[in-house]
Amino acid sequence: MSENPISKSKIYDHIFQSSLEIVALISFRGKVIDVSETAVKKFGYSSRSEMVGVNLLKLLKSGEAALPKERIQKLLHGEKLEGIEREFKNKKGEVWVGLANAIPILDDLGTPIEILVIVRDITEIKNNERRLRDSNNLYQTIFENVPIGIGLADLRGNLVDFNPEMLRPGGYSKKDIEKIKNVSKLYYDKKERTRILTLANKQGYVDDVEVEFVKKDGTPYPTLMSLRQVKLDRKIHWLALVLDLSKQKEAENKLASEHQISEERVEKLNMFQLAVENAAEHIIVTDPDAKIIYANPAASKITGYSIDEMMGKTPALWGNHMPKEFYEKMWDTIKNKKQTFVGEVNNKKKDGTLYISSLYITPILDDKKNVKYFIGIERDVTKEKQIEQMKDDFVNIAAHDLRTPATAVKGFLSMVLEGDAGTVGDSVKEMIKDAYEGNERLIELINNFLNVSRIERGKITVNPKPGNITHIVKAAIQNLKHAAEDKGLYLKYEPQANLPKVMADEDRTIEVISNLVGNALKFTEKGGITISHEIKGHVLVTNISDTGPGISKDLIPELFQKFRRAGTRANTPGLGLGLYISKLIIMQSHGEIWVKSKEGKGSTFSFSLPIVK
Amino acid sequence: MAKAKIVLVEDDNLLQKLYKEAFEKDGYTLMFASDGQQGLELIKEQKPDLIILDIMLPGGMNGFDVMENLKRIPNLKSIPILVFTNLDSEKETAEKIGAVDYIVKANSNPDEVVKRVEGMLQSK
Repeated sequence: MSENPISKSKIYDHIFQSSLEIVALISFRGKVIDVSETAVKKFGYSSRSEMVGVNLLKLLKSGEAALPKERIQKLLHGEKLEGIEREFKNKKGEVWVGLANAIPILDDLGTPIEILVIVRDITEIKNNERRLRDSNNLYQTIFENVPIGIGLADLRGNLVDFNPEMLRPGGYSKKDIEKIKNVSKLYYDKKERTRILTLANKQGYVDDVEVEFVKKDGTPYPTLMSLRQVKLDRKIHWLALVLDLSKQKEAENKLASEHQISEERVEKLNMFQLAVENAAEHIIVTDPDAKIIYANPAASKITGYSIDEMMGKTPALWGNHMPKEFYEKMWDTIKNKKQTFVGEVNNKKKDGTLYISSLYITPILDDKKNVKYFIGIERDVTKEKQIEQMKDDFVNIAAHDLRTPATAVKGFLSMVLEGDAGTVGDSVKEMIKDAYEGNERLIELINNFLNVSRIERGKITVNPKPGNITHIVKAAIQNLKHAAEDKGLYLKYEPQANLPKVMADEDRTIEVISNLVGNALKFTEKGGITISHEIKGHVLVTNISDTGPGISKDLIPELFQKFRRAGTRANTPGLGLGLYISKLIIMQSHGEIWVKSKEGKGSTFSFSLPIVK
Repeated sequence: MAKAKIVLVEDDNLLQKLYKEAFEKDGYTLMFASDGQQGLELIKEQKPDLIILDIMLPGGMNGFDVMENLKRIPNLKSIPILVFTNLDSEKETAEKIGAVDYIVKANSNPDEVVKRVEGMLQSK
């Protein structure tokens, strides 16, 4: 071979001339010795000779290293290098990627003298690869981040792949799902899966079915799912797209319940409005300055003013016919104390008719406890008042007229008993005595009727003044001593010295004590009555204890009510109205009245009166 | 000395009868009138030593009216008046107009009334 070097170079020349490959012969110092025509074209040179002597680095994209030292070493040792990927550039600066093999050319002694480099343009392949990689990246990114659960399962339901959104709503980790493995376990209701799969198999797909999946904690969550058949590795798979509907459902539910609440509220408001509009009571709403901002039809009907006439005015339009003190007290109650005011007022209709109303004013407060509105409710009680008056008058007249004949009977009987009509036999005298007693009770009853009527109407007022309780008690029992003696009962009163003065209406308190002691005498057959006092804080308590039959527990709450009578035993006179009157008197004296009793052991009636400070 | 002459103005005939018995038994002369107008005329005519006067009387004139009229007549205004009524809350008014005593009918006996009248006549 060595004796024919020319022919060798001719072969090279021939190869360079016609090779379709990019071929270059390069010196170990990196300079071009020769190149193929194809290479000339590729690098944008005009001829092979132009490229001779060009440094290899000049053909590479700047920054690309020719070859690392150890690889050059390999070449020097006669080893071939393959798969060297480098970015080249042509004369115009256009870059292309080449994959090169380098083969050392040896001299006759086997010493490498040149390097034959064969390069293939792999730019296109590289670009395709990159595009694929980029697109894979894109899909991976979408897969990872899309807010739709994506899962791929084989026909047996074994999960092949799934994205994080598939896990998130259920609270699963990737490991959990890998453990679960089969999608059938993710359905909340297994029957649903059967239904959906049946549909999917029939149609080949499923679109937007609502289905509940199960969370890791066992509770369900709503989703919207679509299924598609996809072929992967020549096998059919189900691709599931799952949209978590928890939030939407929650919002829907909230909306629905809000809607329901507002509907209920509207209905309630309608109801209240109807109630107020149709109420027979006069109802108004005012601002804090008493200017009317609402009036119901009844208010207009009762006052005679139209609703328009009332708007913006104050209730003085029909009211303001009471003493100044009344309104001062009213304003103090509703504006300062912020409490409901209850009273009775004289009003005047638009046509001048006077009428009486019961009045309720309630302040409505805002969050800061300031008055926002006043609600005023009035009821025309004129008729009721008239009826009440008639009733009172009737009771009064009836009682008064009943008294006169009873008085005449009393007079005649007493005259007979006194012997004014001549001597009467003992047996007749006894009967007359009984008749006299019966008549006395009748008179007492009539007197009580009159008293109740008067106290209730405020005709008899209780005027407490500082007084001496001992004096009052002594005056009260003065007339009862004989009755006690006649019945063989003791009447003990040993008051302690230096008792404080009390606020009491002397005459009325005497009435109370007479009544209580009188009752005790009536009911007690053995023993007697003891009156005592005790000081309890700011009040002085007077106790009237008897050794009578006592009062059954059931009857005690009724005792101080109107028209009650303790027990129905024969031969025991009724209590009539005495206790009720006593209660009225004590209450108007700012005291209290009560009873403690044990059946068979006697009773103690007590009342308290304020001690004078 | 003949006992005093009394005019009772009272519309209830049972009470008239009762008090006639009670007073005449003790020797008094008792004359009745059944309403205020009659009473006033009887008093003017008889000039009694004492008047027992009911308050609630039929007709237009009640006991108080009778009293007010009497107080304006010089030779009659000093006749002592005992108000005898079933109204137990008018004592103050009665005394203000000039009644000497006040008895609630239902709470009294004829003997007591007679005694009170005796007392009034003595202190005259």
